Amino acid sequence: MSVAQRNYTPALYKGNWEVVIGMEVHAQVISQSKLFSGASTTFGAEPNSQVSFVDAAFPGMLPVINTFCVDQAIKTGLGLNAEINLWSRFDRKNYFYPDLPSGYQISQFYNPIIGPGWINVRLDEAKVFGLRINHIHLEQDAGKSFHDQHPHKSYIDLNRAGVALMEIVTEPDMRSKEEASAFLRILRTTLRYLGTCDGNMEEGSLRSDVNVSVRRPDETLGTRVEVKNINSSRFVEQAIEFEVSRQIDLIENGKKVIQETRLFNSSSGETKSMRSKEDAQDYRYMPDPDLPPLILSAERVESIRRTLPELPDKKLTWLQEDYGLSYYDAALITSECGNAAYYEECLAVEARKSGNKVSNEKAKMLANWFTGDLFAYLNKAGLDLGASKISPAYLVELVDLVCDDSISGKIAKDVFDIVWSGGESPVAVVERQGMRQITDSAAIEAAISKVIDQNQDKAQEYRNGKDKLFGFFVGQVMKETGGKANPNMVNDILKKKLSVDS
Amino acid sequence: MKISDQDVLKISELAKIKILPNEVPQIASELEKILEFVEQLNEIDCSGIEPLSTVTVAQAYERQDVVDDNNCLDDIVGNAPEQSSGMFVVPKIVE
Repeated sequence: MSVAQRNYTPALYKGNWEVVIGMEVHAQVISQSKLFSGASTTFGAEPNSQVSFVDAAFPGMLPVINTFCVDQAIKTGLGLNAEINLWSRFDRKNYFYPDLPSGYQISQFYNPIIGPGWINVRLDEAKVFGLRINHIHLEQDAGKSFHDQHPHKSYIDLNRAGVALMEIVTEPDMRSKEEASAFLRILRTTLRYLGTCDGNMEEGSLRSDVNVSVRRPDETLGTRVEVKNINSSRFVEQAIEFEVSRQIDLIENGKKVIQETRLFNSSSGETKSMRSKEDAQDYRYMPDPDLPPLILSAERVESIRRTLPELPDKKLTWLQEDYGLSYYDAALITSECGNAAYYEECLAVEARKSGNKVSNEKAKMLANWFTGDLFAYLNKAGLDLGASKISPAYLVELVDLVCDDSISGKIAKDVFDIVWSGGESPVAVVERQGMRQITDSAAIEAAISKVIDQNQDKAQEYRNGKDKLFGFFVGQVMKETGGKANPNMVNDILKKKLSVDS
Repeated sequence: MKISDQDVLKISELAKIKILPNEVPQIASELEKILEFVEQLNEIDCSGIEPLSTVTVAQAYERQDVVDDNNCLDDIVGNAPEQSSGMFVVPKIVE
């Protein structure tokens, strides 16, 4: 895999404005304890129950870095094709706010742990572009303020203070809101594959700052505006849409865009000014004297590289090329690592059973049952894939029953339903309920003769040219056999029988 | 480096420190003296010398990812001037 060149020309806005977007994504690192303390990171605990003296900035407390958070950052960097800086360091970003008790956030300003990287972003089957990552650094999260508990007071919960974040900073390589939200989706998927961030938007595990500017094509970059702290890809699109029209209106009316930080209001879909560059805080970055440089060995990086899972873009490619899946199916299957693992297990089970590579036809059937039927059942029940009683082995068993003509596709739906609720294997269900398809031609012939005998008049009408009656006979035969007759055989035998006078 | 009255007012605004108009000239001249004093450092030629990031140990010690310092709510909020339902209570913050 290598970085993709954009293989299409992005549309201009209102005919002649190019939109330029860069993002800073704050991804919460999956870890047991915080970046610099032994307090827990579990979401939703009692206020201030997961706070150590370090997090609360009690005097004399010293931060000690969590080795697993460092590994997680390295893994993320490798997953985003980035350079790993073997020498990095932490800096203090000073600002004054009650959810930050020390008065500074420990971050990496001058020497981040991860250098330049890239990720390929697909908009659909045809469109792809490569997005450059500027760097990734580790930093602490802040606490949480509540302003609605008291008319004159704010309440502070420091449970989140000190939890490790990776700030993923992109180059301004995106040209539309669609590209921005597609990037956020593939980034989230990739982090979930890597197991370095759970990507849970509702719990704030992935928060984005979006930098937006507009310009005439081929001109230098316009003045950018930063919209802070957006927690979903839908809101990212809305914020960009609003900012782009606001900025174009200003310029077309002879005014200027001022460089500022704005806040997005998710209920109105609008952004409003938070502070201009003139009032910008001076963060007075300085190396944190409490933390010596973070020095990594090349062996450590290499051993983490060996634990990297196969990433979605690669899976997407081989599912299409080796198994003939459509882009749609392959994209759906690879959009969540759990889905991909389930489907790959189906392929593995089938390959073990048959001793051969799974055929494209069977791969397609498995994909249909998985993304169609199983997804629909899971959705309806509001369940995760992990809670499904239909294991990959069961799904393979069901598809095999259809492929070897043991049951028809229609009966298979009934079997699926019974397996879903009971947890019995498809073969056991078919045997116990006597659902096995009738492929014995004598039995089918007997059923057909009976139906024709009972409907002599209609048989005559059919022979006189009323072709439409064929469907009626098929229906009657299926009824006679409890829906178990092999439909192809019914068709063939029925045609023969009806064509001769009885 | 010359510090103007405007510089002093700007800094006071950013630092959220209230400075009365009659204090401005005196503070401007004091800040100027401080900067002049610090500027002596520029006389030292430190080209080609690696910046010193720490004077203690050369390399960060890393701790294991275990929860070993948790559930000490009472100790954490115990010394707060004001607390309620386990939370610190501070003057209302308005962005």
